Amino acid sequence: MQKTLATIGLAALLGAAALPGPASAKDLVIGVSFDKIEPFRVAEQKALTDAIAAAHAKQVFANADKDAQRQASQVDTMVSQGVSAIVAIPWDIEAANDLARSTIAAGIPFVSLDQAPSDLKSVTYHVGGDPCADGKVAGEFFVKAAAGKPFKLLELQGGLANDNGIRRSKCMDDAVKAASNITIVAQVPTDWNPQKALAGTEDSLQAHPDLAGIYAPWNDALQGVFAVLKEKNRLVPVGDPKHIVIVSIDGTPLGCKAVKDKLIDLEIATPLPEMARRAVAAAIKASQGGKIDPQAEFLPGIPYGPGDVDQMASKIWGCQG
Amino acid sequence: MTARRRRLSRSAAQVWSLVAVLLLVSIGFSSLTDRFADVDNLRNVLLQAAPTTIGAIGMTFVIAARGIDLSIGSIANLALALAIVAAGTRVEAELATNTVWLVYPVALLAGVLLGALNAVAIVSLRLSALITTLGTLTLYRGLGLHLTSASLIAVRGPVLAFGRTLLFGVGLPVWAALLLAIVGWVVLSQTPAGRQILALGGSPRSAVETGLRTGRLLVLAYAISGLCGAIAGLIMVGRVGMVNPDLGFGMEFTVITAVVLGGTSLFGGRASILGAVLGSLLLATIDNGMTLIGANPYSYDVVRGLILLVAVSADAISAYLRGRRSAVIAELRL
Repeated sequence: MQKTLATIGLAALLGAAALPGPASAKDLVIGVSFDKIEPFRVAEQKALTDAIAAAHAKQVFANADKDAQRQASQVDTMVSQGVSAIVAIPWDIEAANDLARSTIAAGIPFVSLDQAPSDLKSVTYHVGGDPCADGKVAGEFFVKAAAGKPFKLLELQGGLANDNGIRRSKCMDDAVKAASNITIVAQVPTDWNPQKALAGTEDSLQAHPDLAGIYAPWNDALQGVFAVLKEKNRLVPVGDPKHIVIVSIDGTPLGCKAVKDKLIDLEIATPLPEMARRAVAAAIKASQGGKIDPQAEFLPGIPYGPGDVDQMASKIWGCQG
Repeated sequence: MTARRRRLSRSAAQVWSLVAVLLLVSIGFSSLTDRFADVDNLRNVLLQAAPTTIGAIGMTFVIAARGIDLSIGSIANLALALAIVAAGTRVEAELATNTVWLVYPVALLAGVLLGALNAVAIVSLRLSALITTLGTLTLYRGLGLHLTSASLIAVRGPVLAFGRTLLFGVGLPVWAALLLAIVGWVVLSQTPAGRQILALGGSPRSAVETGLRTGRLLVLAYAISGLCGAIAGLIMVGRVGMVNPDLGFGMEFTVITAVVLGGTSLFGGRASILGAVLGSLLLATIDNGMTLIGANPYSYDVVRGLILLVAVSADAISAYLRGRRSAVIAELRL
């Protein structure tokens, strides 16, 4: 009997949730689907939670743990639970297209955050950093730092199966292409793994003791890079003749600390809280029938270095608190 | 030829095939860059191979017993998370956690217990090793994420010592891998427990019928694997200087690849510690060489896959040739 009542109660609850909801923000439930959990994602989750709370909405959260199939199942479950909208960071940029289309076909807006699907038209709205702009800024910085002299550069690469990984690398490459004095001695695929970043740095520094620059396109790589540089007595502050020019992207607390410690020359901070605010605003607006325009926005990162970190700290999420 | 001798000769053939492939790969990279054969670089390769080698030694025991441990990377992750929580103090100003020496016994003990727990679940619930360790892969990783709040924990103090200390110019992890390889070989091939593990893997039914304590043997094999996972985790954390949520992610596949490349049968009963060491070295050599020659990043997986196929095929081809030679000899006798 108890079991039957519980089943009826659950069915009623799900049924109520599945009914077309009223427009009140208090009734809105945002389904948040993450591709994985790591420090940057934890910060994104916090920013989203703050934005959803500020909009007086609720959220259900799921982590796909680097599995596109699992992410699709989790989003399907959220849709069947009757969420008002989906905000997702897709794991697979191709699989995300079908996932977004099927979700929208079920009458639920699909907003992609941070990681753009390969076909932007497949989603209701996309907001993310601008990996290409960030990569370009990094490349231009290396060109400036090289100042026309021979400059050997190690390029650590993130995940080559996702948009941020691909474009942070490609646009950095494009920016240094014209500078014939810059030689990219190795492009090491790391799949965002700090251990692989460490090994790649170790090997490259072994092969090229005169290495002049390292591009670490995400902050978590820095610990491994620093460990190798320390071992080789090259972990010295900006300005020291033995210093290796380092550019990184993300703007995490560790990235900010590295800038403050003058261990890296340039950091490009992703405008994370703003991304989260826009994603939630678009999800709520679309769930209430509003038109979303523009359909995609790419927010360039905020560059800062040891020289201006104190002035810029209020704008950098990782420098706060 | 007895079945045991046939198995041993098959393992030896696989080891020789692997040595040949390793030599060919090394010659290939040496011809492409003069930095490859440099002594310092060879030290790098050994150091980079150490965590995989140690994990592969542990996994060899499990696979020899006809098991599999998909949770080894998650054990590395959770054991280190537990150790950092138990033996670390957060220093907010440094954005880092200071550790004390207690971090080592806690990590090692956690590794042993988590590994043994796998075996207890397999034996007591009569579940398949694949399903059980697939479950604990997620469970242990989830617990690790929970303990660390999925954050990146920069670490300081004694936890760094193991990964960064040099002994006679070579990293301590390399010596640890060498020592564990010797101990592993002795235990597996020269002790009753090791031979019983091989017997269990060769024929679980016969092992039960002959009165072997199969449950205890499985607990021993998985505990060794867990211990090796924790040691690999200590090396990775010591070297990179942080516990990150990705610690140990995908380690199971690298380790199993090294073990299988080395001639250990996935169906149990045939195992080679030396093969596992060589398999790990081959994997590290490929990654190292590709970076040194400045290879296209998209070619890493292709080259890695091709070399692994060649390594596996070399054994199959030599087995085929041995079979043909035997057939020809048999025909001549007729």
